[in-house]
Formats: sequence, C-alpha cells, structure tokens
Amino acid sequence: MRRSLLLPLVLALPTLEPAHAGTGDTFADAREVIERRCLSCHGGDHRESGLSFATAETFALGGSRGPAVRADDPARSRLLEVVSYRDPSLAMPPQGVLPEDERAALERWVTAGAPWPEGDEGRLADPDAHPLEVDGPREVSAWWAYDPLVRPPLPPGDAEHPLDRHVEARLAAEGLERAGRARPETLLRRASFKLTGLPPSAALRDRFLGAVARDGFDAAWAALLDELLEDPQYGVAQARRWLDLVRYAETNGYERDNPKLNVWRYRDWVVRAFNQDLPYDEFASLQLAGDELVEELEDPADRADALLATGVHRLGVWDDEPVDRGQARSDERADIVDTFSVALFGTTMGCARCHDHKADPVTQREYFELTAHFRGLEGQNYSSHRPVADPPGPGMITIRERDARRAELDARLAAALDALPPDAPTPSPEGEVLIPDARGGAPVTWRLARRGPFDGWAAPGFDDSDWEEGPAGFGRKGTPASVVGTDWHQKHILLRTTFQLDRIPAALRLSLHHDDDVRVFINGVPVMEREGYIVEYMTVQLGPSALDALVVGRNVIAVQCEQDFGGQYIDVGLDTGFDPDAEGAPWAWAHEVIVSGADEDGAFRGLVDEKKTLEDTPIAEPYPAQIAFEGGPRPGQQHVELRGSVHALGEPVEPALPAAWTAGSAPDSAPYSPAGVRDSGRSSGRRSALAAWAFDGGRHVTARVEANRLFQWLFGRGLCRTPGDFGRLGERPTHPELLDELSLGLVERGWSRKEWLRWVMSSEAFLASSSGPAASFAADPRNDLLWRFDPARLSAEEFRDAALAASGELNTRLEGPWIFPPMAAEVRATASRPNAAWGRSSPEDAARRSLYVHVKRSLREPLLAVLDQPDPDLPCSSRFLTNVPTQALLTLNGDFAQRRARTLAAKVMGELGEDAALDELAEGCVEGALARPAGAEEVSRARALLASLQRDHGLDRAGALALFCLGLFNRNEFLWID
Amino acid sequence: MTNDRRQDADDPAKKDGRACSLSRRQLLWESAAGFGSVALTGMLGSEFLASTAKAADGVRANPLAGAGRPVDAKAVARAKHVIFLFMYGGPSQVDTFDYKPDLYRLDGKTIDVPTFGRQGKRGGGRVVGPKWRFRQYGECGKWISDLFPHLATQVDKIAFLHSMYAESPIHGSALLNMNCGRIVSGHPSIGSWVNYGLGTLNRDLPGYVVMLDESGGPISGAKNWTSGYMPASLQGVQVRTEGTPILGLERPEGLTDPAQRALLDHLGRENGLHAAARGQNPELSARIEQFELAYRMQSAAPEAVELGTETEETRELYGLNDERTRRFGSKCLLARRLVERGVRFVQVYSGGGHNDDNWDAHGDLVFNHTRHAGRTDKPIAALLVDLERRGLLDETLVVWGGEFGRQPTAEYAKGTGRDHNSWGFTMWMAGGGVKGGTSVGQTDELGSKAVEDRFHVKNLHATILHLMGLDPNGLSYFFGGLDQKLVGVEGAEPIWKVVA
Repeated sequence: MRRSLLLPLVLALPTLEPAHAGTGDTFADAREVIERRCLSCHGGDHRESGLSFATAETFALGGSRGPAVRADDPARSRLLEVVSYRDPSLAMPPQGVLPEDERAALERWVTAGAPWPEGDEGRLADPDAHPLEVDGPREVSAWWAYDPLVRPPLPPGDAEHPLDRHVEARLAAEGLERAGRARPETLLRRASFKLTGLPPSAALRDRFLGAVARDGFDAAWAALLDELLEDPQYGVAQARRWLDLVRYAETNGYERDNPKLNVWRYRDWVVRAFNQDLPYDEFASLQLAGDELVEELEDPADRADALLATGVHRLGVWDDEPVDRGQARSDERADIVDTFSVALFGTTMGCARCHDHKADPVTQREYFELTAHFRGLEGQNYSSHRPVADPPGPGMITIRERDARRAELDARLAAALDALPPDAPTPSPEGEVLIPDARGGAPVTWRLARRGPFDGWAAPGFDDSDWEEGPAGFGRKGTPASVVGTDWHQKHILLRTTFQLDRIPAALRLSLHHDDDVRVFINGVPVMEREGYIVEYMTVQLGPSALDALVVGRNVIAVQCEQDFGGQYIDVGLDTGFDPDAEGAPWAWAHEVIVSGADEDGAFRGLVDEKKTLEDTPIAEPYPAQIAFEGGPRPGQQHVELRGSVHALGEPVEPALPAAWTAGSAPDSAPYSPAGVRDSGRSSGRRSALAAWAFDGGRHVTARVEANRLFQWLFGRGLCRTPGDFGRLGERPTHPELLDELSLGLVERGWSRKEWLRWVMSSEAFLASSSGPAASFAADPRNDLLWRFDPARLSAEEFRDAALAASGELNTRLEGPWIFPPMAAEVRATASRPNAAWGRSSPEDAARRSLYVHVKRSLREPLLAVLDQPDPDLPCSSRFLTNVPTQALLTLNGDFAQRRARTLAAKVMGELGEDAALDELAEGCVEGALARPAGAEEVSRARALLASLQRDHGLDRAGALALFCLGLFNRNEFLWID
Repeated sequence: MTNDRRQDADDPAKKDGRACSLSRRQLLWESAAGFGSVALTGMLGSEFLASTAKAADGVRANPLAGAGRPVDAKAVARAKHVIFLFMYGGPSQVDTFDYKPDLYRLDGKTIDVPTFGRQGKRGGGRVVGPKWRFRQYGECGKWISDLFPHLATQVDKIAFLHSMYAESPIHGSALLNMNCGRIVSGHPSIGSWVNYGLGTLNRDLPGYVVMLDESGGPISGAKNWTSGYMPASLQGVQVRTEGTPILGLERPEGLTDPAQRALLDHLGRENGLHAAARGQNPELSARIEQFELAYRMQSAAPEAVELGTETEETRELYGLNDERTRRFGSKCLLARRLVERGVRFVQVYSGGGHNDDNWDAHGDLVFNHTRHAGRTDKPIAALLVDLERRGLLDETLVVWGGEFGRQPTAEYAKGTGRDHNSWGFTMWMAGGGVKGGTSVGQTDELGSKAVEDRFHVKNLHATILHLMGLDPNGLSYFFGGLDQKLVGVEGAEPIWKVVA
C-alpha cells in the first residue's frame, strides 16, 4: 500500500489533481531528481539545514526551517519555493536552477501530497550518496590539538635541552645522524635575521666573534641573544609576522580604497608590545577585547594601548557601498571570526559558516555561537572612530609646533607656486553651483538632526531618512549676515545633503557662514574645520583630501556645527569654482598641478604629502582611532545564518564555544563563563569572556598554536606544518610531544615570548648547520626529523631592509604614519587615478624599514609583492616562497636595487678613496653587502670583472663598481640564510 | 542541457570535486605543501608549478605528486588561450547587441520598471530609447547596432549571452565579481585560476597578461588581476604596447647587453660556487636558472611586443593607422602575438580611470559609447579575422563584456545617460569551442532584466574553464579550510548552449 506522509491532513483537503496526470506515479519521477540533485547534501550523514531525504521518516521530520512539504497547502511548500529560485538566498540546488522537467516532477509529487511508497520502491538508490571520508567528525574524539596539555615524558639521552632530547630520540629511532653545529658567523647572521629581520652590523660581528674567542661560545651566544632581544628592531621584525596573520592593511579596498584613519597606530602598538615583551596572553586578549578590559587599567599609556590593540577588528576589507548591507555586515563579522579562529585557535572556521564542518568537530551552530561574541561590533562602519588619548610621547607634536610647521609649508608652497611657468594649469575660476547657499533665495533642503555627532553619521551610506528636513540656513534670526530658513537654537546640529557630479571637478569651493565651530565632511572624509564664529559669508577653497573624496554620481556633504554662546548660524554652499584669494586656495591649486600631470619633478606631490603627514602626526591630545567598540550591553540577536546568508536566519544562538575546544581544558582552569546580559556599560563583555577563557581553559589550544608559530618563525616551519589549521585537514605535528613540551614551556614562562625564544634558540637544533650527513638528507629531505637547520630565504621585507642596511641608508626610526617609497610611473598607472594613487616621502623616510611602507589594497609595492609579501585581504599564516624571473628582473633592473648598488659603491669609494686598488674596493663592497671578508679567489674574480667592465664595456670605475655591487645584492648568499 | 552532460553530475569521479568534500589525496596545504590542492593537466604545468612555488616553511616534496586531476574527463580542451576584452564601466546592452525594437517608441516616456544602480533602487523612470539603429548581419541574421559596423560582419563567429546577471551594480564589487568570481575581496582572478590549472606554455613570457587603458587602471587596480591567496607568481603581469613592455624589463640607462651578460656570468659563477657547497638546498640552483630566464625574457618580451614586424595589411586591419583605433588596435594585435607565443590568458581593458574615460555613460550616452565603440569596433573585428586566418581562433577563446550593463531608463532628469544595471546585460564569446552565430537568453522587452535562461557570472566562468578543458566544479584550491573554487563552493554549470 501507499501511504502519504501527510495523510491526516491530506485527507481533510479536497482531492488534489496532479499537475500532469502522466504516469500517476509521482514519486518515481521525483525520486530520480532527489537522488541526482538533493541527496549529496541532504542525505546520509549530510543534513544541511537538518533536512534529509534519506528515508520517508527523515524527510517527514523536515529541516531546521520546518517541514519541506506543507501539509495544509502543498503548493506553497518550502521545497517548491526553493527550487523555484525566486528568492536567491533560498534557491536550491545551489548549482543552478533545475531543468523544467525536473522541477515539474518535484511539483507533481509535492502537490500530490508527497507520497512515499514503503518497501523497496521507497528506498532511494544510495541514501549515503556522499559519505564522509574522515571518520567521526561529529564526535569530540581525541585529536592532538584539542587534547589536554600535559607534560610528556622526557626521552632518555645525553642532551641537556629538552628540545634536543626529543629531536635526538626520534633521530636515534630512525637511525639518522644530525648535522653538526654551524659556524659562529653563520649563527650570528641567522640569529640577527630571525630576531631583528636585519643583517648583523660589522660592529656587532666584531663584538660577538671577540666574545666567542674570549668567553667561549655559550657565554657569547647568551650575550648576543640578550642584545638582539633588546634591540627595538626586534619588535619591527616580529610585528611583520603577526601582521600577516591578522591581514593588516591600511586601506579599505573597493572603489575608493580609502585609508583607514590612524590605523598605523595599531601597527605601532604591535611593535611596542613585542619590544616590551607583553605576555602573549595579554597581547592576544587586548586585541580581542581591549575596549572591555580598559576599565581595569589605570595608567594612561596602558589605557591607550588597550584601545589601540583592538584596531585589529578594523583591519579587514570594508565595502562602503555594499550591494546588500546586511549580508556585507555578516561577511565582515565572518572575516573577524575567521581571523581570530586561525590566529588564536588554529582552526579554520570558514567551512562551518555555511554548514557543519565536514572534517573538524565544529558545527554550524557552534560557528554562530562563536560569532555571537563579536555581534556587538556591528556599530562599526568604515569611517567610525573613537578618541584615544596618548600620553605625550615620541612621534607627537604640540599644537604650537604643528602651527609653525603649517606656516612653513604654506610658505614653501607659495614659493613653488610663484615659480610655476605662466602657462601652468590653474583651476578654472568659473564653476558650477552644486549647492547654493541661502543668500540666493533658492536654498536647498537639508536633512538635519539637532544633536551632537555620533559614529558614522557623516558616512555616505548613513540612512538619514528619518531626520527632519529644512531649507538652509540654520540658526537664530538676528545673527549677523544670516539668512535663516530653518530655526535652530539647540547646542548641536548635524546637516546632510547630496549633490551629483558627472565628472570630478578640478576645484571645490565652499561658501560658508558659521557661528560657532564647524566641521565639514564629504563622503565621510573630514575636509574642513574651523573654530569660533564669523560675521559674514566667507569662501574656502577645499584641498586635495576633499577632491580625492569625490565620486562621480551621488556625493554626500555633511556639516556639523556647535553653538557656544551668542548668535548661532550655519549655512554652507558648494560650487566648483576657484578663487585664488580664498582660504586654502594654494593647496587646491597644488592639487590641480599634480592631477594635471604638470608636477614633473614631484615637488608639489611632496609638499602635499608633507602637509598630510603633518596633519596626521599625533598631537598630545585625543585623536580619532579606528578601534573596536560596542554600542551598549546588549548586542543584536545572533542567529544561525543558513548557508551563510543573513536572509535565511535559523535558530537564535547565544555565545558559546565549540565543544571540541573545551573538552580538553585543564582541570584547574575556570570554566568558560559566557558573559551574562549586562544591564549597563558600553559593551556586552562577551569578547573579554572569550579572552579570559582562551588563556585559561583554552590554553591547551592557544599555547600550542602560539608555540608552534614561534617555532615556525625560528625554524621556517612549525612542528605542525599547518600553523593556521590544527584540524584534521592539516598535517599532524612531526614531533607532537615536543610541541606539548614547548607549549608548556611558553605557559610556564608566563607567556613571555622573549624568554621562550632565549630558551629555544639555545638548543642544538637551532644551532645546527644547514648541511649535514648525505644519508640523512637522502632519508629525510623534508627535514621532518629536524636533523639540520633548514636554510631560509629572506622575506620580501628582509631583502629590502638588508639592501638598505648594506648601502648604509637604512633609517631605523620607529613609529609614525606610513611611508611612500618611490614607485615607478608604470605601476601607478595601474590605478584608476594614476596621479593621486601614491604619495611621496622624503628620501630619509623612504629608507625606513619595510614594515612602514604603506599597505594599500589596490596598489601593492611591486618589489615586496613579487617577493611574496601576501595579499592583505585574508589571514596568512605561512607565506609562499616563489622563484620566478620577474623577481630577478626587479632585483637586477629595478630602480630600488640600482640605487642601493650605486650608493654602496659610492660609500666604499668614499671610504677607501677613489684611487684605491680594485682589489680593495671589491673587498670593501663584499664586506659591506655580505658582512664577511672576501676570499682571495673571489677577489681575483671580482678584479677580472671590474677590469673587463671598464675595458670592454665602457663603464667608468664607479659604474663598474656599482654593477659589481648589484651583483652582490643578487647573490644567493645575500638572499639566503644558512 | 543534454543528457550526457547530466550524467556527468552522477559520475562518482566528479563528486570528489564538490563543495567541501574531502578527498585526502587532494588536500595539500596552502602552507604545508605549498600549493593547495592541485589542478594539473599539462606536463608543462607540473614542471612550472613545481619549480616556481612552494611554501616558505620548507616542504621539499613535490606538492603536485598524487594530486587529483580535476579535469572534466568528458571534456576535451577546446581552447588553449583566452583573450578577455574587458569593456570597463559597463556597456549598454540595448544600444549594442540586445535589440529591443519596442524601446525606441517609448523614448522620453515615463514608465514603471524596477531598477537598481548606483542611485539605489528605483521604481521607474524616463525611457531613453536606443540611440543607434540595428541591422541584421550574417547567416544567423543577428541584429547589431550601428556602433559596431566592423564587428557586425563577424557575428557568425560569435555566441551572444543576452541574459547575464551579476551580484552588484557598483563598480568596485562588480569588477571583483567579474574578474574573481566574488564580490568579496581577496580571491584570485580568473587568469590566475587558468594558469594554476593549466600551467604555462612559454616560460619566457608571463602566462597571464593584462593590458590597461592609457587613462589608467580600472577601479581597484591590481585587485582585478590579483592571485589572491595563491602564490604571487600567478598574478597578472601588466604588459604595455608603448614604453617598457614589462616592469623591470629594461636595462638601466648606460648598461649594455654585453655588460649585463658579463655581470650575469660573474653572478652565475659566484652563485654556482655558493650552491656547490650547499648541495642540500635545491632552491639555490633554481634561482640561478631564474636569472637566465629573466635575461631571456629581456629579449623575448620586446620581440613579442614588436608590432613593426607585422605586415602593412595587418596593421591596417587592426586600425593601427587611425589615431582613433591605434591604441586599442595595438593591444588586440599584441594579444594575438602573445597567444601565438603561448600566453594563456590575456586581458585587454577598453577604458580606464573614471567618468567618460570608460564605458560608464552616466551623462551623455551618445558621446560616451560613440567614443569607446569607435575605438574598439574595428580592432576587435580584426582580432577575430586575424585569429581565424592564422588558425588560432579554434584554440583561442575571445570573451567580450563589462562588469555589468546599463538601464533602459535615464539616470537624470535630462540627458541620455544610463545608470548601472547588473540584473541583465549582454556579453559574448567567440572562438575556441564556442558555437558561433548563436544567441542565448533574453532580457525582458525593455532590456532591463534577464528573464530567460539567466546566466550568472559564475556560469560564464564555468564556461571558460570548461572550454579550457578544466572542470569548473573540480578545479579547486585549498585555502581557509575550504576547497575554494572560482565558481564558488556551490559550483556552477557551463552555458552548454554555446558550447560547440
């Protein structure tokens, strides 16, 4: 007999006629479609959204969104809705809309009440069509990364260092011999790059080798590590590694690719934290929840740092005009969750956003429970910020200094403008009125709010539709020279309106009357501010930042005014004209010179950038920073988002942790305590609850992840070779017990990374040579057993910094706004605004370390990019190492390499005298570039080259020597660490 | 969809490639094995990938060994190369290839039609009738607007996709959508995927070339040819028809070829001695070889871009003698020369920068489209003719289109400008494995929205990969815990109706 799943209700309905009488066996046709199209995700162990077509019974249970077939009205069943593809967020199957005949077959079956025969007829061909290949992913079974962290037994042996005990025990078991200890010179270079990212200076080398001879290696080595760990350049090198992981970039991406306001302060905080050896648990906790933890801090410097640390939440890509705002917010949250999951827990979560993780024990529900910790961040948008108050410190200036430098720059600009030829481009004085001010009798209508500024109010995407409307100007009658269209008598007012552009104008001019303080924003970018009041309209020519903020099409101008006392009035008009006598006119003119391409030697660009740097330089008072904040104690409700879509919400969830993470917590640790609903305060406390657990109950995971990463930083690879994924899709550690030993070692050292490095760098494994017994190489070429120290290629930044160090140009200054090294015109031409795409720093700034080079998502520095600096949009836990000819082209022919080579050659000639023998010069260059004395045969080969370049190729002495230096920078010896 | 294609979906071998499915042998690590789960169809590909990339953490094993071959077993590679002619800014479909005879008489009338562009969602507006006359061409009788008199003669080679839709009507995200498959930033572009899947045919030239407009790059610049989470060696390389063809290719001033050769010989000797003492580091000799490759590239690339060796007839064909078409014509001609020399993927931008420097006709449609069609019509027709007569069209897939199309209604109260439209637009393909003289899909009678046989950008990408002999739903790269795919983890079908 046949039975219907919906029997009782179907009976109550009028008889349903199948859409096509056809065979009358609606199930047979539907079943073919189900087997082909549905089972792989909704069958067997796979139950996307909880729905399974495996059997009549499982199907009858429906999914997390309810029954697939609606008993009371089958024609309106969810199954038919999803296959109709009417709503893209619910459309099924995801591969594409079903062919009409298949869709019709499902419709016939469903409208017939979804009959499902019993017995063989109703048994699907292969209900387990898509079995999992990994065993038992759902059960929280033993897995090395999530197991309790307990001290492993120390293997027997002679070695003192526990690391060596573990390594040697494995080698002995496999019958392999390890490499001997490397030479002190080699170890010096190795330690220097690993800790500071720089080659050792000649002075350090002499000191170290002298100490080895005098005090013995062990004492000299310990002293060397002390010195390198205390070098402020240590923080620069370690910060770079961390920044890869948290996808650090300084712009938002997408069309405008706007800079992130003061984001470099987060970078500086990371450097500082490493240099101060901030314990890793604090380092990570502050990034997770510094805005919540700040309440416990007293010292103003600590408070500022706690806030700046949360800049990590603002590093991601932000689309300022998303096509689907809700989904974009969800994507931003996912970006944050994925980043923290990889960085702190070594778990790739991306998979679980759309369905239960198929390999690791993380369910979709758990993914969104984790997401709920970050839900409160939804008030952030790309332009919102909060004030941070630094105690006065290095890199800051006083207001008086700033004013003096402003005056100086104004004077230099005036001189440069005077020096322009008469036919130099100037913005046309004639302009088109974009927004008339109130004087003309045809005032525009603005949206207004009678309140102080709040986050995001000036952003172009802000929804002001519930604000009141009123004609300009705004104020109290009787204020001098005012034309009041709308009465405003409160303390604050915010105004917004839009204007259209069909092209980007050459100039932008405000007509302005304000009483009192006023700030003007265009598309969210602050473009003008004035304090106090004026008594008649004035004209202000807006500068480069305003012109760069414009877009073709709809632009938003936002004005904030604050009344102090006395009269009150605000009115703003806007046109595209240019008035050479207006306030700000010289800077607007400079912009035109640059954009028109007339700034041939870059002088104007340099001035504009100096001005910008000045305006970005912190003054000893609160500054706006892009940091994390929540709107209040109760974040919005987080739901499971089916298939990662905010338009298909599943069940509501509260903050919780994946069971896999909590299963191995140490017995003495405090249990995870989800922050209860707070009644007051600025934040939910959820992230600080997560942080508190992560380094207590979660330390078996977080310590392993960080110890493995530290090991990776030293040895080039982690003990687990997949530092971003400790799950079943990653590789198992080559030495699991050693990893546990090193993880406990980190916890026991109070999470001090400097102490840990000192400890591990004293092992024979770190001191080993890169070359060892041939039999070991043959048996274990991957060096899984750590029989040698793997040779390492310099990173992109290390290469650039080492070249600058060798040529004597490196500027080791720390902190401050980003820098713009020279960029070839053909690279700038790839930007949609080639002349405005990249700035220009002074030669001294351009020679700073690569960490400070501006990270612009749409325009990457080519030398760094070609040498494998990762794309900054997604977290990178391990860089690639590519070997391609385009690298050789840049290191041979590129301007950067050429300049360093010429400088080094000139330096050596300057030191030794222009008439010095070729041998001497060659020795000097080898010493400068490779930090070692040249060998005798090497010198004779160099002499032959230098002589031939002069004799056969027409180069002069300096030219030949520069070419020789270029060769030195391209030596494998320069690029590789033994 | 034909029956045999449908059976493909049930082929157990293909199921390995489905979303997130785990086939342990496919799982090689972006970090550990250096090179994701791996696609590989050619011997050159394997050699190239194995020799050029691995992770920085020292894995020695060839990451490609034992990798799955996510090649569509039933598909034969029809194309070896792609030339993607990117009409940046978004050409208007109803003024180019999507003939809407009823739209002319509605010109100036206000109608109700939902639209979604940079001005947001609107319920209707003033119709701007098509501004050009359409005529029928070719054996297929295709209606083509007067904007393309030259290209019109080639319609029998072309398959038009009239029912394209994309996920965003905003340039930034729409460009990413068209180039990288997603509106979220950070993912590799299609040229990277093709080179990842197939490897190079000529090691002296980059496998993925991008040629930009003189006015600048598109919005988001290098994000449009990024290799995302894949190695940097797979990103697009910008090649110029004027000046230095490739960044760093030109020797510094005053340095002659023999002097550089002398330096390289010296460097080779020193590096050789260094490597000889370090036999256990094979990367060192690999880098020595890269210097020789770079040296060869210095002559191979200028040779490739040297258009002077082309006959006068060819130069005339591409419009090199006409100032209006010279620049785009040079790029089309160079594209042909590059695919002749084995470059896998060439993308040529028509338009750059902002405003009317590209197809983004918000203000004066007639001015804008006359300008850009005028610059490109003859060169593109020439490219199709030239590829065919050289026997290259069969193995070269030519793709034409922008990141979206334009609305049937006006953007402003006055003028002919149209706003963006991602709900329906036209693209076309020709050559390598494409059924010429066909048109698939339809927009509604206004041309505002795809209504019949709708094709997402993913379907276009799936078609390109399929024609290159790759299985779009199998070509995957392991990153972030997922088997990432150009067509998304959920997959997409090729547009079978245009596959010959």
